[in-house]
Amino acid sequence: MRNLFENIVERCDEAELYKVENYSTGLSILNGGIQSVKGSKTLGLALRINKDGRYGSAVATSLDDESIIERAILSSQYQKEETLKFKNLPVEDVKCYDEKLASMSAEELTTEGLRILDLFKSIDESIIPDVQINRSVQEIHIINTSGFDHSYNRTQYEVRVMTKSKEGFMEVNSSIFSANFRAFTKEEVAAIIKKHKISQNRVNVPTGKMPVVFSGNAMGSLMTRLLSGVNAGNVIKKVSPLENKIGERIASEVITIKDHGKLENGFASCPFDDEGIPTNETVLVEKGILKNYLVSVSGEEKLNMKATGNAFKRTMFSNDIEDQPAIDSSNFLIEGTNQLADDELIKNIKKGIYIDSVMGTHTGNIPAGEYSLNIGCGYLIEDGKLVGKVMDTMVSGNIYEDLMKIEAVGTKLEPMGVIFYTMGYSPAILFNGLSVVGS
Amino acid sequence: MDINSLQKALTNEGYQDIRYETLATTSIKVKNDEVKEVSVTNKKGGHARALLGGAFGSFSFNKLEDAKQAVEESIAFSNQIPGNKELAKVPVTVDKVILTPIVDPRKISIDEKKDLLLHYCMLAAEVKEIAVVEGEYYEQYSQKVFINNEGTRVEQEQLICGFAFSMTSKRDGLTQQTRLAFGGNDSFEDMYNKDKEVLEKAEQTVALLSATPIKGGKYDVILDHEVGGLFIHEAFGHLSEADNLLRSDALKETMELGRVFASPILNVIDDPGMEGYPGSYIYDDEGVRGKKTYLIKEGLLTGRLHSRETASHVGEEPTGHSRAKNYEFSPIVRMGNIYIDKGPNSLEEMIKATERGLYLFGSAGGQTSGEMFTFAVQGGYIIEKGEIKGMVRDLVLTGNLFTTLKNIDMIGDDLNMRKRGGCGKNGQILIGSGNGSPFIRIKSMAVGGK
Repeated sequence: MRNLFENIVERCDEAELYKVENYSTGLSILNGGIQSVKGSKTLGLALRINKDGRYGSAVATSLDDESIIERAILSSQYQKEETLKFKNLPVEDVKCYDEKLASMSAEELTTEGLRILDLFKSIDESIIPDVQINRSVQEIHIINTSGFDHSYNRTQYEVRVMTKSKEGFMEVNSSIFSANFRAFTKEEVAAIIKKHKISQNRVNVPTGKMPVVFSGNAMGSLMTRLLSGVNAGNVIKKVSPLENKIGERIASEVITIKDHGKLENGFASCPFDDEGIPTNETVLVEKGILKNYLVSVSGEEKLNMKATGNAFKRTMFSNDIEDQPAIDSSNFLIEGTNQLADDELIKNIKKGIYIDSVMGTHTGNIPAGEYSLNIGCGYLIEDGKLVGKVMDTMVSGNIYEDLMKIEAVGTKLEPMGVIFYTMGYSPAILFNGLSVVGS
Repeated sequence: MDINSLQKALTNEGYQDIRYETLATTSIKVKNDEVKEVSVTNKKGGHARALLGGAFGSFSFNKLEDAKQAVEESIAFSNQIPGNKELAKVPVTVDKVILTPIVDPRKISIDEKKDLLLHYCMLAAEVKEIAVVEGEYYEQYSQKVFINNEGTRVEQEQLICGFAFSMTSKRDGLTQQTRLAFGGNDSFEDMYNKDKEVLEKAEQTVALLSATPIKGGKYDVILDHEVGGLFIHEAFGHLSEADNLLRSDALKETMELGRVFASPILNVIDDPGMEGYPGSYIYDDEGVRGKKTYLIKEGLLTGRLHSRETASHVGEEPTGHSRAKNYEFSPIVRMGNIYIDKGPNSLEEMIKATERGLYLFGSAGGQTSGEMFTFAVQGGYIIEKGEIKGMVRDLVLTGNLFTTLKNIDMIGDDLNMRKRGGCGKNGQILIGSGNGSPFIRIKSMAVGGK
């Protein structure tokens, strides 16, 4: 990598070379048996340069591919007159690598998958879940002409477990997203089975306003909208409703929302972002008051704010080497004052809905905070108890009105689901009076 | 490309294949009157698969010389899995697919592409109350080789290019967003002479600022070809991907061929072989020719989309629908170009026959869980007593596999395919997934709203 970088420096004014080496193993268990085992060992290189007052970029998949320099220079020739800033800030260690997970063989991962199947069998033989397990080990290395030269190793562990209805469709799902290995527990399996059984009773919900609990998983849909709002890029473009709102109340006083890139064993934790900026614990909303935006290096001057370490090479749908670093969550983390256990959250609800997962996270007017979600997996609450699975039901609103309606925050953190990935961790959240369109 | 060295990586043990590809992409991103990014990407890599035991083992790699090791890893994975699995038989194919686009984007300079993209963006950005216009030119050119140890060797070029715009209008605190796309095939010709479309979309985006937010509830809806295409993709297309059937025996019963799925006026087809759309291709990533497949005929379930594995699993013919995003992924069953076949009605008839409903235009993404699905649209108009009235906004619809398809009661006589593909499944976003539809009317669909 250093050889290539020396050649780059000779031909460009300033440069940053990013390298990711990825080693991953995954398996899928369907219908009680292993459906596939896959592996991957790949390399990605991304170069960003300044030359003659313009910036350019290019990617390659081999250290021998010196055309990456040529292509980055070509790219710079079309850009407007603007350069990138490459920084060299001190980096601290972050706990994001698990030796045990990194050394697990494909057989050991398979054994864990089959053990989860057996846990189901030990409680209820009739429920055969789908189980997906993915483990990846990455080394990320960034060198730039400001003297930054750091690398880190990280591991990521994903488990998705899903039961199916008697017609064969998705019923209940649950997941682990973490940097370290953690065994799926019998209690988790028992909780899935309990919800699976409740789901066998299908219920219709009338249209109207009612108390709604979003599970930690389902909160990903609402936080995707908040992420768009606190994205400094959107503030600069003037399409964020949170423009000029720092210091103002945007949510109920019971909720605090952080972006925590240093969270111990967080799925997205790492020492620095994909521009080499150290990650941070950034308080976005403190007891309902907007405190900060998420800022990348390019936004620093325009907003007179410091970069928060949130520029990542991924989108909602991809994490490809060619994705440019752009503002994204590291690990969003939702906390509450006077948190209540999940049972307590629903105890006093006479009639309402508990939502475990939704569809439509990526659709609708996200920058404006609008949401209109199909409840993929949710339950009717009656007199403080879950009584059946709601079908063909939607929940709609605007987060900038509805974050004010949060009454209580639960305790148990779940990974927040966003299409393919996760954006952090949240407990269940109780909203008072959201719009529900039933059947 | 050194195909012989790939060939040498394979042995005669069980089933083995290798796909190796060189990917060249050009991407130009602009915002209003500024170029944000120009990039020319080169990526190379391969994916090996082996089937010796009860399931596939597979391995992704970058360098040609690592193919042998990738095959060995795949064999080791597959050997771990107890059981024994057969693939559906397909003809051994040796073929070379070379593209001959009408206007070859590879021969057009980056300058020309960039200038045209900027021209459209600036045109739209000048419309009053348009806040941001983001435009993207994408061009993906791949040269793929697929070989297996049955003797198949397919060399194939694939190319897709297009313009895609996102427009945001703003008035006080309110914003509205729309999308517009041109191209979606291997030729650059569709990118020219689009001033009128761009301006109309910008004006529509501004008009949405004066629209009324929809009130949630049930409506009879008329969908344009974009929304109709998205609808059939989400409502039914994904479920016709037969890898779902590997999941559960229950679903096999639910999806029994011959079962009534829709009203008798509905015909749904997937055809990778039609030329010039995002989901058009000759061979899939198992070297099988993509086949036009009737999924629903006169309301009955008549077929589904297969890989060799799923075809064997249910004892049906392979259809050549097993595709991967790129060398980092295993191929999975994907739609090619899915569409609703045309029917007898004109749009005017449909509007006239609608007492109280909505006319919906422009797709804005969707999702499905198999049984339930949801999709968003850019905007719509109220229909009252057979006449188009005021504009409405913030529209997201939801439906159910078992009821919604049966509620399609009118189908237009004019089929149109969408210009932009794209679909996500199992972590793979695939730009080469097309869809289309005539105007269709669906009774009583749930529309979300406050």
